[in-house]
Amino acid sequence: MASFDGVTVTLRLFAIYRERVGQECIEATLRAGSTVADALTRLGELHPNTLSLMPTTMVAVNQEYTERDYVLQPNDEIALIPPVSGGSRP
Amino acid sequence: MGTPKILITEEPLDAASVAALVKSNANGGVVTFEGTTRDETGGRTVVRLEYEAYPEMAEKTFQQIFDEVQERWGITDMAVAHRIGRLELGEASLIVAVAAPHRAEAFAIAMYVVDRIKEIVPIWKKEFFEDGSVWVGSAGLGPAPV
Repeated sequence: MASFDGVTVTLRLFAIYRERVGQECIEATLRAGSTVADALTRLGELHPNTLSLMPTTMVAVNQEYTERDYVLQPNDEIALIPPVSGGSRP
Repeated sequence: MGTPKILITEEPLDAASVAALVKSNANGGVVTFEGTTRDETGGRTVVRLEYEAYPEMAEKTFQQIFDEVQERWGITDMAVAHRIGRLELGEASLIVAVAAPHRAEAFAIAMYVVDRIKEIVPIWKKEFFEDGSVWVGSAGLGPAPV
């Protein structure tokens, strides 16, 4: 179960995340068995100005909406999706 | 008949050409929705807008919505075009065209597609005012960018 192997993933940042972090993309290596939630925690440590965005953020892994307890696999592409809103809600 | 058509582009959109993609003699009605940029939000004057997409996932989620429509209504004659990048006031940001044998379902499907786009398609809108800007949906969420 415990492993010292890491899992390397890519975080893609859009819109307000991209602006606050100043990058479109971050590569991160986390402990094997880490989840989406762990990746968000790492991002929050590196960029505390993203923490206030996270409660309303949805997450996609490999372009599919995913829960935060999803266990990351090598080379997963995690995208942080702040509220999408092409216009006013009805 | 027909395959759903999906376009994400920085070029200006043209509703008639999107509607033309879905017309056929089997259909009695085409509903075209054109979303345009508005000059006011919450009492503040908007001067221009920017849209940003996660393009690969946006295409997948548009396709997912079309799949949902096909499952629920059995209709496949649909097209969507979304503009990204910088838009001036009054320009079209979104066009959805749906063709169906009867008008009631064409209207219902067009409404459904537009509502679903605003729920699941990862495209974001930034409104620029005289004195600042805001990502719609993320206003007021904590510290400003450093």
